[in-house]
Amino acid sequence: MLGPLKEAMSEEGGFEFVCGLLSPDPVGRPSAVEALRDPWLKVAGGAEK
Amino acid sequence: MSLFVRFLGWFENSEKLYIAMEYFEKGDLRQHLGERMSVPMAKLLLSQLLEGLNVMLRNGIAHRDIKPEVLIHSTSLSCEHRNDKSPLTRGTEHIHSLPLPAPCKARRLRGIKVYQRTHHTLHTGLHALIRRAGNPGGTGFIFGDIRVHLRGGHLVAGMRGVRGLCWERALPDRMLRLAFLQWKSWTYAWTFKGGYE
Repeated sequence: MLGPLKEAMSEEGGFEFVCGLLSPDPVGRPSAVEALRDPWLKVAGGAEK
Repeated sequence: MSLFVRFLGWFENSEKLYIAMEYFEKGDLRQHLGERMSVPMAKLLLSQLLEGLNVMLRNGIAHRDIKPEVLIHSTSLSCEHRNDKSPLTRGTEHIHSLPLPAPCKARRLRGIKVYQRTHHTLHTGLHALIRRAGNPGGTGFIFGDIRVHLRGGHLVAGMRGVRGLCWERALPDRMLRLAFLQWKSWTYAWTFKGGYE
């Protein structure tokens, strides 16, 4: 079901990060702090601040 | 950098409620969902959203209604997309959301008896928007389901979705001036860390 998303994000990465946010099980989703620590999010987010 | 919209004050007359919020010229995120956004910009917005969420959670606040309409930014996403490598807006993009649950805000305001009348209104959603001057919609504020617009020198207020109310009418200029005077006098030195009563 997430195939198109994976394909769209193939170049920029971050598919695993988004998948984690979309977990049907709330327990399986990252907290805000955990999400902020994600390596993919930190790359450009930190560089632009 | 503040992650949250500042609430400046409000007043009401016999028919309407006016709320003044911090000014954000680019509107909310929903207005830009159809635009292409660079990945770095998406990361930046997401980071700021998560930071705001983290601050709220640390303070024991559940927003309950996070959505594009409550996320407000101060620079153009489309402009940023076209100028990915431009330093023009780099570091200045802010995404904002008002985190306070309505009951807390109502208790914090002066004149509890009066302000409690807004409780149900504020409860419907916490977001604010001031449209950029010159846009078809004019300059306006959105808070919850209340909208206040400035059109052709007239203050136009609208309330939608609140207890089935739906109305909009123009106010004379003197009322507009009164509104701004009231907003000025009721400006709060409110900050997110100011605590709640």
